[in-house]
Amino acid sequence: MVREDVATGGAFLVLGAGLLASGTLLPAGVGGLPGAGFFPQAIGVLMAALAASLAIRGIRHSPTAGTNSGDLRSVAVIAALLFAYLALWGTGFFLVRTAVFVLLALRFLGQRWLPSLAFSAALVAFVHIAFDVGLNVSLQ
Amino acid sequence: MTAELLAGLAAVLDWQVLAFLAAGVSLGAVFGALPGLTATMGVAVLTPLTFWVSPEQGLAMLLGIYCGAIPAGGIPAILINVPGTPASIATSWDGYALTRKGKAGLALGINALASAAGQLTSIAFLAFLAFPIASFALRFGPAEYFGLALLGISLMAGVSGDRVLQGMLAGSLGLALALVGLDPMTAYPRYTFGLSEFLDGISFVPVMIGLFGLGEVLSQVSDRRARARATKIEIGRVVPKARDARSLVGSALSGAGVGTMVGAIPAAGGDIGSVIAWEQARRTAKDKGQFGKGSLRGLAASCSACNAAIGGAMTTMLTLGIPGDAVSAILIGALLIHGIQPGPLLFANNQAFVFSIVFLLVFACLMIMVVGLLGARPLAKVLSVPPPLLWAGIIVFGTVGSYALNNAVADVWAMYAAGLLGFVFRRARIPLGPLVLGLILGPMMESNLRRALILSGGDWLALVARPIVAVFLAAAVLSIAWPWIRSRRSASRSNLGPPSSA
Amino acid sequence: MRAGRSIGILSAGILLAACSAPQGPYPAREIKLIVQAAPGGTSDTVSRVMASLAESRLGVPIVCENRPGASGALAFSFVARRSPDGYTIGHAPVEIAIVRSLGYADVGPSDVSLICLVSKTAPALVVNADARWATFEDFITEAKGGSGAVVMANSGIGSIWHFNILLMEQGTRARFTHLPYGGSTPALVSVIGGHSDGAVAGVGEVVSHVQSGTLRALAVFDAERSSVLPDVPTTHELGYPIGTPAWSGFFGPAGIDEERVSQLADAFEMAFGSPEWAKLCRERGMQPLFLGREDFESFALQQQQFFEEQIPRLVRLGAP
Repeated sequence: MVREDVATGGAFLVLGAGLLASGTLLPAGVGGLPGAGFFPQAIGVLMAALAASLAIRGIRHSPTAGTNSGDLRSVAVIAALLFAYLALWGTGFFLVRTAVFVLLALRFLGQRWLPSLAFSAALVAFVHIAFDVGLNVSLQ
Repeated sequence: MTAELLAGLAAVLDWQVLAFLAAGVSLGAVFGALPGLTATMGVAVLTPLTFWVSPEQGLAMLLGIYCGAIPAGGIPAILINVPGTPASIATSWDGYALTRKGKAGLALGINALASAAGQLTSIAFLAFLAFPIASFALRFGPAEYFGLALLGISLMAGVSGDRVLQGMLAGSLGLALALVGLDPMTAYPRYTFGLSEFLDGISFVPVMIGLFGLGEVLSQVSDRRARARATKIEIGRVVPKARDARSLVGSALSGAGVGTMVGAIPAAGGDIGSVIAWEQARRTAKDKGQFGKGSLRGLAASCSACNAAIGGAMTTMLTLGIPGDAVSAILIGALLIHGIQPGPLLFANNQAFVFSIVFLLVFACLMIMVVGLLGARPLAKVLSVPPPLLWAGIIVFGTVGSYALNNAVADVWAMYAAGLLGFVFRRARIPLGPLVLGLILGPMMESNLRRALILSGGDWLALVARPIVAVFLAAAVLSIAWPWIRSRRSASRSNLGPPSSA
Repeated sequence: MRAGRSIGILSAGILLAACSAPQGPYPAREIKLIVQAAPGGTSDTVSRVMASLAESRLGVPIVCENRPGASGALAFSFVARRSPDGYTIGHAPVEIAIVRSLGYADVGPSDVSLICLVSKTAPALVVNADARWATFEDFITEAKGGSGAVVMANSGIGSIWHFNILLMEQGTRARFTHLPYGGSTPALVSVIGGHSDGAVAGVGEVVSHVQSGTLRALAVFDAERSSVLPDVPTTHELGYPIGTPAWSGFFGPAGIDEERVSQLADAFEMAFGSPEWAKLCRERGMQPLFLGREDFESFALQQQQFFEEQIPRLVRLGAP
């Protein structure tokens, strides 16, 4: 069994079935013309069929060596930082928040204090010049 | 004719006009190279400034941005796997693979040269074959658009490499995501969850930045070795060897042909054109396996095609007065401000002006080529930056760029969500190319199929009876069926004995 | 010593006055103008030209910010939620009177401070230049057959031009096959390419194609003839009083101080009188029309009422 294929196939099978089911709630169309619900159902069927064949193939075949194990903890930390950065959007001091975010991310990824500080300052300065001044984007 | 040609050249050979052109090309290069800023945005933002200068100067600026941004969009695609504009998605497939092999310089060099080849070829088409191309573009009704979209979607299998099933699943997810928003035909809300932000669907550019930019960053963060990797810059040669160059000319020229035609069709641009050109180059190549893994020919075809779309779009705009893509739609507005009306009358009454546009395009193309070749080495130095700094830069530019597109925080959320999706897909080794194809082409396929059926009164067979549609559908069926046939053949061969080639 | 003390008292007094004054002079800083469409289009051009002309009168910059999406509903609700200090205003096209009826957002002219109207654009019916219909009557007669053989491209279900086609069906008893597109441009391209028979779009959008000989205009939906298409008859002279125009105005969040609204309206009125504005209107086929705050209010509320009555009757979302 190839676990990766079975997992991918299973996830898409659920998604495809959901699409098919939700598509039946949309207008079906009148007089031989497909309505808003036609494509969701068609894509749902396509997705479910492909997913089922991938899952079946995955169950039948023997696993190949070399699945990638990665540093998921670091990804989770960066994703959490990103979430916090975005959740605070619109609260003002955008450039300061950006600098803090970059600094924290770089420190977490093992950069030294000085290069991290210098880089986040340079990045924020560039964003300010290009977007605030140049393009008149109001970043808050 | 000669008098008009000379008059057009004279209008352009003015130091002020050339200065505006150079300024436009440089600005365009910046807009193209920064993920999140697109050619469309650059032209739109600078259009109001051109109200106050002469038509030639204003047009020089705007055309410079257009011609500068598209080749520059290939630079981040090659160096960091983040397409600078949607047109350079296919460029990243082979370009980034080359960078990972230590051939970043060569990839940037081919980008500069093939982009110039694409632009110049399409400008030649514009100068000599404008009206035949335009009448071809006008023949595109709903059924033909449906055929073109279906052909593009059928390439999902081809761009998935050796993971066809996973690729097709990703493609179907792209099609599904494209359903979000008002139904294009009946304005019935689908999967909007009652939020106004979803009514127009999911913005494409933030999703692209997320999938390729943030997704790549997260995937590298999860790779401990990438973080610790000693930063060794490998740039390599920039200009291809004469032997390589000769084999690339064919790919670049056929890519240019495809790009010009697709660019000329309204609402189909360089993004679709370059994928079709890439797949066409792959289909006709002997070393199919190299495509997507650093093929020079694949890179040349995609770079050339996305740039040739410029000439194609300009052809439709100048001959018919209808936009060939989003940029030319804004250019029409800018021309109207100067009292110039693009359309058949412009060709008849003001040929000198048409020629001056042709010359502006040629000069812009040469300028950006020189910039691209000279800039290849310094730009590739970006790779010597410690990866975490590069990642932080990509995240911040991606965030701000996604917001700047529509001043909408929802777009930044879409970018982050797409980033997580891109990361998950990379871990599960599911190809991302098909997902993007589904997102771009899904709405085009659905709305035009339903339009075509309204016109035919619900008769599906009437669609196939149109010659262009029949050709597209046949090509689509072939490209779906071909990988299966090939895998069947190679499977039966491998059952008989050891395969002769890997 | 004495002088020093009096300066001290004086400056304290000024400070006190500055703090206690309920409102300082207006405008004291830049004004943000939210545009409901993407850069480069007509709404954007109207807003930018108006802003650059009006800022000299106000003495502060007016900065345009594009927030496209949902027929403008995103921008309208964004502006409506700002604080009514007069420093955030928005471009108000006809869609502000429509979006609530379509269910895109719960905002309309009655929920905002209307400032002024600056232009309107009448709809025009166009067919391919080689089409067999020479007049509006020819076209209508054929479409009255009831077979739905005449195909009418529209710029999207629920858009102002689609709505005008529905009004035309109602007023003339013609019946069309409707072919929705995502905007006026692809709808017109479809007629130019011969894929559909006719389309309705703004006079400004069709005029360049009519002049270059790819489209023919059969009627302008208005009471008076259009200055850019003077040879084209109006529906009113043909005996069909149908059609509702697109328009451009400005608005702010509900509750802006009346003094400030008049200041803004005065600045836009001055901009309205400039030759630049006249030139832009000519190029874009818009009819310059200025309505001050009160007139615009009664016009916009009347429009809102009209669409709230008509849209549920005529537009059926979900059905082609």
